[in-house]
Amino acid sequence: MTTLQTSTPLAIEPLDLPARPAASPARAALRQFLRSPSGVIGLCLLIVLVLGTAVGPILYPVDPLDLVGGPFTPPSADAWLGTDYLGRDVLAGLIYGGRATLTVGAVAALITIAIGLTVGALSGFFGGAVDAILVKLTEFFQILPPLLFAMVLVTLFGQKLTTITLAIGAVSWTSAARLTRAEFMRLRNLDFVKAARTAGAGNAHLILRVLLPNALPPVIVSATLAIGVAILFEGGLSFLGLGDPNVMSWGLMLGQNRNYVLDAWWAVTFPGAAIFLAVLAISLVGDGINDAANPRLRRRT
Amino acid sequence: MSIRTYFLLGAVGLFSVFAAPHRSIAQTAGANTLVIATTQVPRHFNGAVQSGLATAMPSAQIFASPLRYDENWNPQPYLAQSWEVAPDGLSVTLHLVKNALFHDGQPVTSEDVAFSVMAIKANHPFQTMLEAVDKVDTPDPFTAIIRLSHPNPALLLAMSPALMPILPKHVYGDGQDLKTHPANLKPVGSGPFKLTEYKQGEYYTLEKFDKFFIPGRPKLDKIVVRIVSDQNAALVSLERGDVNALPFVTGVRDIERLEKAPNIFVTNKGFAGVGPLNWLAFNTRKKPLDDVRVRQAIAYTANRDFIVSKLMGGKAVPATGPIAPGSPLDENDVETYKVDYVKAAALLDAAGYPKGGDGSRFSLTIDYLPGADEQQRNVAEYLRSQLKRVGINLEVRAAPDFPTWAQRVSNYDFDLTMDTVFNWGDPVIGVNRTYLSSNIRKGIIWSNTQQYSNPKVDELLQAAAVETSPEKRKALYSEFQKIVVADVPIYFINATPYYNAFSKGLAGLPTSIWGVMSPLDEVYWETPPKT
Repeated sequence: MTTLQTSTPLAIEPLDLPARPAASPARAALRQFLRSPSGVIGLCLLIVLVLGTAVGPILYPVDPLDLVGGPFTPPSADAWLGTDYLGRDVLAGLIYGGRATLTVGAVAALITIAIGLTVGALSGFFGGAVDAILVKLTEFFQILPPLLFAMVLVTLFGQKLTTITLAIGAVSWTSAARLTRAEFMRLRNLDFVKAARTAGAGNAHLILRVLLPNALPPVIVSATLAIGVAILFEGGLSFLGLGDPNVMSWGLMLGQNRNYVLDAWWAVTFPGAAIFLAVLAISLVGDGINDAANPRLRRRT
Repeated sequence: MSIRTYFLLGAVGLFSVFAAPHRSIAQTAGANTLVIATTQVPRHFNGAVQSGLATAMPSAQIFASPLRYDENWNPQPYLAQSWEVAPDGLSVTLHLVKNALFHDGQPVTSEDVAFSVMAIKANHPFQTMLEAVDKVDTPDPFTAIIRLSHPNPALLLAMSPALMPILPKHVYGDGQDLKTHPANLKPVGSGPFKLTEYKQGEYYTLEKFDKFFIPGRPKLDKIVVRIVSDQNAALVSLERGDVNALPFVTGVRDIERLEKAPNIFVTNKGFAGVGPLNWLAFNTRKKPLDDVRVRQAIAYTANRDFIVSKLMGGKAVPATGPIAPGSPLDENDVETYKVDYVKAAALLDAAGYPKGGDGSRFSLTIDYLPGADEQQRNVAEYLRSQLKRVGINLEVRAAPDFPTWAQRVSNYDFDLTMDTVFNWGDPVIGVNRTYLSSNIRKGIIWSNTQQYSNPKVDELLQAAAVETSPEKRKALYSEFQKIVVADVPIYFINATPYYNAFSKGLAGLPTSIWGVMSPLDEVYWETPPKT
């Protein structure tokens, strides 16, 4: 956070910033975030979901892969949300599956952002030949249909949760790269960057300490949304039969039970609803962060 | 590759859904027509060089064979009006009907039979089927004597329509490779129907051959077989009456759905000959599965009753041994491995795999044939939960497509795998391949991929393959079954539930042991469908 203020060119009194109490812009952003109703609703929803998957296993210690009853048992006192086509507990599946799904979402989004930031930053900062090569690389990945490309990767390297996570990250970093590149290109000719360069800052310092913090806000928003996209990806891959059959996840529940939707609506509806809520919550939070992080909007209010 | 396949399948599936109504109008025109929907795409129509349901169905309509079979495994005259097996079992004499003609008007003679038998021996994938045949003598145009180097009790069954189509020598005997012969796609036979049109991957039309040698047959004028890539589209078409028959239905939900439909008749008769078995195979050369006690422990844990009654909704018949239920050679008095966790644990302890601190003994993987969820995937997933009860961690390995699975299994890169294998009527044709130690052939799927080897079993199978007395033969197979079940290279689960579905109003339905893979010359409309 400290770096954020040292070099924020758009703060109202940039010269005074280093001396000001550290938390102020962050606090302002938080205040702004809490002022957006959709962001707050999304955040509450997300907290409920994360808590449910984090604490759920302690309160409801049922192995999601174990058979707890007959196949297609409707929701009842024994299995609150019923059982699936093998007799596995749907509630346990939701709790443990949520862990896998949310983890896949978060890790895949991190991978997306890591690759995207690196490629975008180098490309935008250096320009010229480096830029040309990296843009070509980005375009190459961009023209591949992401779901199909992810399917190829999973088919080639096996249906494991790690492979699936890496595959999702590997196919969805292009928009983050383009966003970062655009931000860097916009920022690199601004006066404060020139000033830092004149003061003798090296490339690494300029990229990491000067440009990156200023380019971050839109990237953070895009990272948040990337979690939602990754969750949908995981669901899509599982739906097409490319999920990891050894780890319960919401997508896997949906994909495996969809053939039996007429026999056991509960085994499809609940994980479907969970995915819907998770993605909704994440987009709402993303929206909220967008409002909070965008200084123009901040000034408007 | 698989991606493209998915997409193609999807695209074709969509297309067939939308296109179905138009085509049905064009193709059901004319009364006395039977429209069959199938997801099985034939590579061509010549059953002499190609096995499998997709080719067998049309091949049995186009080509006649020496014999055909009834519901109770009894041979019936077909192209051969009578036949004699020599007392020493070393020759079979066929007396052919004299009025049989090929679709091009040429008579069917013993020359054609001789040519076909040798062609099938040379080209058919079932190498053991006619392996004993030395030559075929043709003393006159209507007598063929098949001479054998050793007795082959399976020979009469091998004369079935699905396995021994009689090809016209003047068409197929021109020296070209039979496997790629142009006439495989423009077949000329002597069966009740002739192929008049084939739109690759879309449909084929079979029309009545009016000079068919059985008077008054076939009763239908025309059979249209519509190839659909999507099973759901096929079900909908059948329910709507756009098609009149849907063979080879295996999905439990699909069967239940069709049983409830008011205008449809569903039967599981017609698959005794195919004898499809669904089983769990072990890699018997890999530790710890090389120990028979470990395999037995898994068998005692698996719980066949639960799988058949719950996972398959009671639509499947349990199978306890290597010969499919319904075969006259099926031996029921074998170890059934009724579920017994205590015994399983004791066996594992005795084998030297005690429970570790975390309650587990060892870890294994399980593969399954992709594309058959109820029979394969669900059972594999169920076994993972089930084997955990006795301390075996099972990891399910999904294969994205058939070649991947076949590659793994045929190269012994597996611990356990689910599999479905057909008996094809006689053990010599479809059973021996799985257990003979001489058939441990790396890289070939549906050979002895379990690498099971028991000299006693080899001996029994070899003796039974040349035994001509039915009683002695049954006794040999009975002992074979007991040994194999006790050795557990395979844990037998069920006969794959194959069903045929027909529109009500059809009569003379194919319920013989070969079902729709025998001539449909007796089928007719008792009450024709409303148009």
